[in-house]
Amino acid sequence: MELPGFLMDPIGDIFGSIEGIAFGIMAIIAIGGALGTVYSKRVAHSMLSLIMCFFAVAGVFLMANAEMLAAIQILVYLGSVMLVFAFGVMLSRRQIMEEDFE
Amino acid sequence: MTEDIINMRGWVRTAMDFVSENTIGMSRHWEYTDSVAWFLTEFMMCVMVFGGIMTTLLVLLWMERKLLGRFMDRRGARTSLRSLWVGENGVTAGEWWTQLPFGTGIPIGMLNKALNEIAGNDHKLEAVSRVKNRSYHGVWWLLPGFFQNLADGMKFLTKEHMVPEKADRYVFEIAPFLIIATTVMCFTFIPLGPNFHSNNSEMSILFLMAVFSVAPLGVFFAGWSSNNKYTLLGGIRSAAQLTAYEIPLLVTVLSVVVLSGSFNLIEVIEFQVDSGVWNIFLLPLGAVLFIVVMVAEVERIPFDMPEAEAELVEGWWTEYGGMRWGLMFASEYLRTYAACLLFAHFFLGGWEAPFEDTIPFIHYIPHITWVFLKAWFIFIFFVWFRAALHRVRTDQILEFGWRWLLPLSLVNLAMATVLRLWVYDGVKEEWPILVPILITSISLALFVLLSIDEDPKALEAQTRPFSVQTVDVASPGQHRK
Repeated sequence: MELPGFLMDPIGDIFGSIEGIAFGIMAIIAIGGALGTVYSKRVAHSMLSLIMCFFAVAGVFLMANAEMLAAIQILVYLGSVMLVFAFGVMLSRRQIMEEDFE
Repeated sequence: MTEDIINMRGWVRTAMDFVSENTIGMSRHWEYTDSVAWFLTEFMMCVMVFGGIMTTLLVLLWMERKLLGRFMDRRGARTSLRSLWVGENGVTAGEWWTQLPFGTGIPIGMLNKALNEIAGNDHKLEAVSRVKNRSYHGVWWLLPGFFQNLADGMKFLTKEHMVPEKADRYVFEIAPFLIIATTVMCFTFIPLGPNFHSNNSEMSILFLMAVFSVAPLGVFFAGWSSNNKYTLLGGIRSAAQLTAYEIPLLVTVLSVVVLSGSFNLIEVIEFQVDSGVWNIFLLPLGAVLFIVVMVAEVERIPFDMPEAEAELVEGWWTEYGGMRWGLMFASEYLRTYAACLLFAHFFLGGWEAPFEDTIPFIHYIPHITWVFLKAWFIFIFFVWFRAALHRVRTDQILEFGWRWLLPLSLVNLAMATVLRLWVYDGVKEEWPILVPILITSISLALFVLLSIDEDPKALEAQTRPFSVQTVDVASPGQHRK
């Protein structure tokens, strides 16, 4: 069975470049997360963006066959460092929804 | 590798090879045939592991309900099981034995009748009996109460999804995804059988622990974004507790890794199968530490400060409702399930049947049976803790974690290192038989010695810390002086 060319050519392209596409998605998420970290107005939102960025970076490590590095990235940076960040931010100054209370 | 009669991965691969060869293989992109077959195999295995875990999760919920009723001596939960056998208040779940084929139920019916006569059960008013017996549905083989969870799920699905007005809407919506997704991802790395796993990476234990440790962030954000002081307190408590217990957990897991010499979960199990001894007999301290730390990690009752109903309405998930709450509840149980499966894999030999070498024909039972049976057996302990122990204060939880569990886990790690370096002879590929026996008996003796903590002076004085009043049955003409 042979599918027509206008269907098969894109399928072949996707098979050939699936790694590149995945890398592109990861990279865009990482850059978007980093930008979100800088430009978010609320601290919690920038923390969430940083988490997203770390996840994407772990994905990039995974694609480079650096499994150990990816696991450590998630374990150390996401599991511990971000939680300490969260403590620091939330316990030092509680400015959640300031405009709501006005 | 262990021989298993269920070669699930092989079967799926064969089927997917066939599919791939007849679609992609026929076209001009035939060079991708193998890759597509590989992708489809991995996908199918992921789906099958997910489905297996989610369906057997019902068993966990059912066990919790029934066992807790049993342990706490609550009547309703007990009635449903007992009514299958001999009626409570003279009620049985109908004469179900008459439905068995070829008259095989006749002895059961006779036994039931005899037991009911001995116990003095009668069946005077049928309507009253049916109301009292909550499991009476006329269908005895549905395991009373087993499909309650599906009904619960339907209820959650039909409920409205509400976001509090002053909540941080985006974070409020993202946090459940963070929790549920990472919880489900844990099961990618847990094999259910020798040929029944979705992922077999080199670092599967490390990945598993990494993914396991992301949920506290989701919990924290869920608590924070609800904009409610109780949820915030719950979130902070949860984050503090989970980070504190993460370290002993990782060090305990590390001791198992050191002992078996691999970060791969399947190789850890294969090590226990090959060396002939389950890890619980070599690292009893590690097993105890693991289960205690895991109870804290999954926030079950002795350590469930983050959702202490008595003080913080429902803890960090107070503001959630509908299916989001249902899924987060399910993810709590999935984490418990992951803990049970991990205990079975790390310490109870995973899929190896007990006495596999000595009992004949036992290898004809599929190995996945043993994995599930061991996990459910461990879950009994989780329910037992919940029934027997009371909630511990937050500062006591943290102190216990840092002052006791951390040093003990380091001691355990040192023991594992000594065992691996100087006792286990890698050439002989088997433990000296005296070592596990000695370690286990010494540990049991220590346990018994340490659990005798009664004060002899207090026993002599016969004083009790609480007052006991015996209430006599009041009868006419008699009253308390």
